[in-house]
Amino acid sequence: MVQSDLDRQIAQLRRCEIITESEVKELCNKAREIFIEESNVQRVDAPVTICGDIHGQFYDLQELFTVGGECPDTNYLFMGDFVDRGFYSVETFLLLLALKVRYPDRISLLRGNHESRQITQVYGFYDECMRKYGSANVWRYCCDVFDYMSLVAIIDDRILCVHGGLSPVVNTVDQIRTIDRKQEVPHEGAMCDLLWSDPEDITGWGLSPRGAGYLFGSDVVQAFLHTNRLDLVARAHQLVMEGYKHMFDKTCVTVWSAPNYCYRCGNVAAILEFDENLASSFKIFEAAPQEARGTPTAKRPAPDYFL
Amino acid sequence: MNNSNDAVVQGTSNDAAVSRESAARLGYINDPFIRYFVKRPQRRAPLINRGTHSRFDGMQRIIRQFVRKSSSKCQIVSLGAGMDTLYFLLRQQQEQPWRIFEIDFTEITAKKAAAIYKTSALRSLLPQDMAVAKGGTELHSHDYTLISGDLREFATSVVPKLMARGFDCSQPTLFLSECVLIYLDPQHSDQILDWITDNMKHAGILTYEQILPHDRFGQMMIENLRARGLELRGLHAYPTLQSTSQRFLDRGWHSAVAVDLATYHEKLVCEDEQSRLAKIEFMDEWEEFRLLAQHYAFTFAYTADTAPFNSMSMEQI
Amino acid sequence: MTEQMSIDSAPPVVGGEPSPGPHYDFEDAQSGDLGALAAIADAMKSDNLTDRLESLKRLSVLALAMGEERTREELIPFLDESIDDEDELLLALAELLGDFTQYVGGPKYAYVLLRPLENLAAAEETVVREKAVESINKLVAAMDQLHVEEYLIPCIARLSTGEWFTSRSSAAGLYAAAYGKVTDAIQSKLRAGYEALCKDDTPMIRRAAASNLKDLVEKIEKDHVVTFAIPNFRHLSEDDQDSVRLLTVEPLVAITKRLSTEECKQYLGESVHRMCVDKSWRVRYMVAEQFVALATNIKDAELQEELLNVAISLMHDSEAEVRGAICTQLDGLADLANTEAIIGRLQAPLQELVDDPSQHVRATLAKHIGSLCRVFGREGTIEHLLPLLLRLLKDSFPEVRLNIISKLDVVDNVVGIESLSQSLLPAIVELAEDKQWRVRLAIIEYVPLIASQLGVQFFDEQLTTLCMSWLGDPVYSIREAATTNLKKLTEVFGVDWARATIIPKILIMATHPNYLYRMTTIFAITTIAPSVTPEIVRDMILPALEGLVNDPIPNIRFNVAKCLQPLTEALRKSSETASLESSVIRPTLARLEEDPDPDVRYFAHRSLTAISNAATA
Repeated sequence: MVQSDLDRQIAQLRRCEIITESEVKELCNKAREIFIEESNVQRVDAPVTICGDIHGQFYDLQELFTVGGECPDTNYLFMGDFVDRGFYSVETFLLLLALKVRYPDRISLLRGNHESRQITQVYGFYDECMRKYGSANVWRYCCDVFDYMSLVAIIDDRILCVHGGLSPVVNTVDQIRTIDRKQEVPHEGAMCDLLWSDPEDITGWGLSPRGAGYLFGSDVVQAFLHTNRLDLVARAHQLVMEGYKHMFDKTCVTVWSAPNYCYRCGNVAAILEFDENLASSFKIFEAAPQEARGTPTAKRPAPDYFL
Repeated sequence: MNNSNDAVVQGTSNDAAVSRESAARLGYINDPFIRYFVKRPQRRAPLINRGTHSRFDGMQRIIRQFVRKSSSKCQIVSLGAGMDTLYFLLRQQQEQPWRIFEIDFTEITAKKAAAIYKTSALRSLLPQDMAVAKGGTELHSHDYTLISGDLREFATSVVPKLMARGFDCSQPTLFLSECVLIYLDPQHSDQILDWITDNMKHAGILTYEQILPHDRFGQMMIENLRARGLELRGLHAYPTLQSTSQRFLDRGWHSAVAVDLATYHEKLVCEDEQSRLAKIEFMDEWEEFRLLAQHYAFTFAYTADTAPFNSMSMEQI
Repeated sequence: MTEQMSIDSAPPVVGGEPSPGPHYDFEDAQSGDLGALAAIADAMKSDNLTDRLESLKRLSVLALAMGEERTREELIPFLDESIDDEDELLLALAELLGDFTQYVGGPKYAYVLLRPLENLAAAEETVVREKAVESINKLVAAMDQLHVEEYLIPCIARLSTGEWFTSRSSAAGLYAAAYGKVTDAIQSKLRAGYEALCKDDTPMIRRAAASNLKDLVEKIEKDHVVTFAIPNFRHLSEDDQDSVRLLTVEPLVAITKRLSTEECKQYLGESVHRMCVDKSWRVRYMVAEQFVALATNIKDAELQEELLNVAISLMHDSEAEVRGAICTQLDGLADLANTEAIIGRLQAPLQELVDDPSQHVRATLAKHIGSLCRVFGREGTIEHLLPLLLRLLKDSFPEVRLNIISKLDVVDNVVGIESLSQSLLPAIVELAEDKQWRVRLAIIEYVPLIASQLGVQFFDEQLTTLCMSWLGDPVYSIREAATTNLKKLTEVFGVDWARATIIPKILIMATHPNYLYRMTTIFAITTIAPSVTPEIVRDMILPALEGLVNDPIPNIRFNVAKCLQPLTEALRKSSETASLESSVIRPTLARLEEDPDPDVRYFAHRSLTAISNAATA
């Protein structure tokens, strides 16, 4: 792929315009080559800004960049759930993917539980691909990329970043390194737990109401951080109305980056900036106003209620 | 806001029917009739299907208790009935009340009348004396009556129509409102309740309406619906579980209990049913479901300590 | 309504592929093969709605191939008979038939299309009916009197007396187009037919009659406006359903256009009055929304005075929607009386609206209040409007603040920026630290305009610190806007001011511990470089960049690399500084081209190439 082509595609995607099916295919191939080289545990250097779920809310992703700075000027780590629920999963995921291919050292993408064939067929990404491309090809290319994305990232050997949380079968970071991740997210086991689990005010482990992954308590986090000489678990996966939520004496933090989630929840979103000395600050942002959502004719999202 | 506000409110009956059809098709609820009222079926998100299940379940629960426990001539009056299939469901289960009256805007009743008239599976369940009336905008029969009318003029224009169709103020009557009273100015919905209070011997009401306008989810709900031209005009007057039931107690009604949809789903849908639902679709939107469901409430109230109402409750199956 | 619903959004199957629909070769029709009609008939029976819609789109191709005569005699009757029950298809067909005249032999055969459209006009779905009516009206425009009388008039009659409400409500939309094309005798029948619709039992029909009355008013003779339109308007405007009454505001406006002021007063005074105080707020809302259109046509001073009273009462209306609607009319409303009277009358209601409990009303007011400046004039605005603007600028709802800020230029034009900035400055300084970054952004964009009016000294005292503080804003786009602002200020206040006041402060940011803020220095330098002298670049900027070239963070280094290109262009402007290109810039970029980070290497290379290209050009 010629760099100028890629720059053009990025410019196009930044305007929320899709690229052609053959361009998607080539982009996905490139991205896969990059992800193959990355370990299950991606090493990331500070400074970096970490982000939670996006869920196809393209104009809110633009808002995120407006507040946090554009890539490549600002370094980013996205902790998964790029697709499903919102109206622009295709544009959102492809933009992030194109940025990854263009600036592999400036942006990291982790896999979330929605980066899965099964989930995307229930929650919108599959339908959106069919609607926008008239075939399932783009969906299939993207799903193939999902299989290669890293599961966790560690910033400066201090902060573990993961979509969901910890797993009862994972005590050390090295155990994560041994997972064969290049597959559909399994229904159980370490890989599933990393993408599905939630922290909860309990002791030890608990059953998750989600039907996958586990609930884990503060003692679990303490033990894991101690064993692996880490300071913090940063994760996404759960809607928090204030955009972020500290737990367990600030040893675990949830970052949520989809403002007014599903155009319905009324929440604010956050990103977490770590500077080069790991000094951190949250940036809070709201959903893009209607005027910022493309052309004036672009219709306002009308989320479902029980009417 | 636009001048076709009524048209938008009328559109909600289609929205509700589409949601119900989605839940029925996927097997969340058993309603073989709703599909005849939905032209363009859509698959709703799992959390909407879940909520639709709880809503249907809650409404049905009280309605069936009412029909079963009533000894004689009991009536159901469905305010803003939309495309509700209640008559057909009860008929199919052979659990019919004496009379069912459905009231809605002419635009709705005209569509509903046409759908019923043109669909043999529905028409065949109606009695022989069924007649299309008022230029195709009403259906009249001895046990099912579809009336067109504006609830804002309940006492002056709806009640005379009910009376003309054989409504009997002395019989036990259950009024239903599923997201209907909430669109009216409180003064108009109060007039309906006042009329019931003043004229009915023993009446009950089951409402299912939005609550909690003040938190961020509630504010966004108001904004989003407003953008569609829908104004929840009654929401601020009765914003909480407490106030929705107090509304009836203040009128001297004997009992009023409100429960939100989240609690209903969590506590009042039995475990077997929960696990059956879990198998239908994978649900990964619990935080959002809880938020959404907390903003809807059933309120069951009745005027006097009489049967069948005094032995009915949301907890019973 | 169909009994068998097709479910077009069935759940996908893992790895499932949508099966391609059957393919019909319509090109066969080119050979005049009779099979083409059969093929399209098959296609239109396909289970797949998309296929049926697709085949419909090809109808014009088929018609062209079949020729006009066969299209009239075979295709159109076929379409009429096989009318589908899928609304989407009916809608497409209704639209298509309106443009089908050319395929059936031109206007003289347009009438053959009426039959299927008449059926569609009785369809159950509103959008289908509306489209059919629209298409019939299109055909009528091309039809001659004879055909209108022979074919359309009976069609209107049938629809008007149809048993189901659907056909009658469509009928109402056909009268206006037919009216101008028929004899007096038929016109009189049409008026009678329309009157029957106005008095129909079903409110939906009365609504249709009310909403189409406006078009008919425009077509009928003046006499009939008085003898036909006004009585029917009056009848509808007194309907017991507010949903009918609210639709009579538009025909009322149309009627006033046809009448003299005296006639308006004579025939409509009472109706206007009644509608303005209608017990249903939805009727009052329509009046409020159409207020200026209604008032402009009524030139009578007495009536206008009354209308102004009405407007003021609508500003006090108990319903927020109504108050909001009348706020959108402020501009035209101000012309209803002389300036003095308007200022006097509007003051009290405006005061109240500024504190309206509904934030939407306040936001609408904020959007439209500026238009009053035109009528209030300079003194009136300063005395009466500015205090209100100030209060709105401090509103708790950000949209209100934004609406005011974005309309400030309108106010500028009337009062002059000087008085405006003097009086608003404290509010602006406050908003500059608003917690909504979009409000801050709006203020930043407004600053250069203020600067040009305030003068350097006053600006330095009041606003320079503020402008510099935006460079350290937590929001990236505010930092970016802050740099653009500095460039514009440099253009206003001159290079010396920039050198003394802002550049030192920009350069201080270069040592910030956070890379994102150090980056702001580079952005600011890049932005203002074209506006400062080459000497400033040499003496102040280049030395500051030296440290940043060796920054540990690659993002800083590649932004330095990017920045060096515009700096080179600035240096080239003077022979004194041009040599720095080879002595400083190129060696620096060459070193960055060897950087361990690929992005640094890329941007260094890109700048170097651009500089070389510019040099050879």
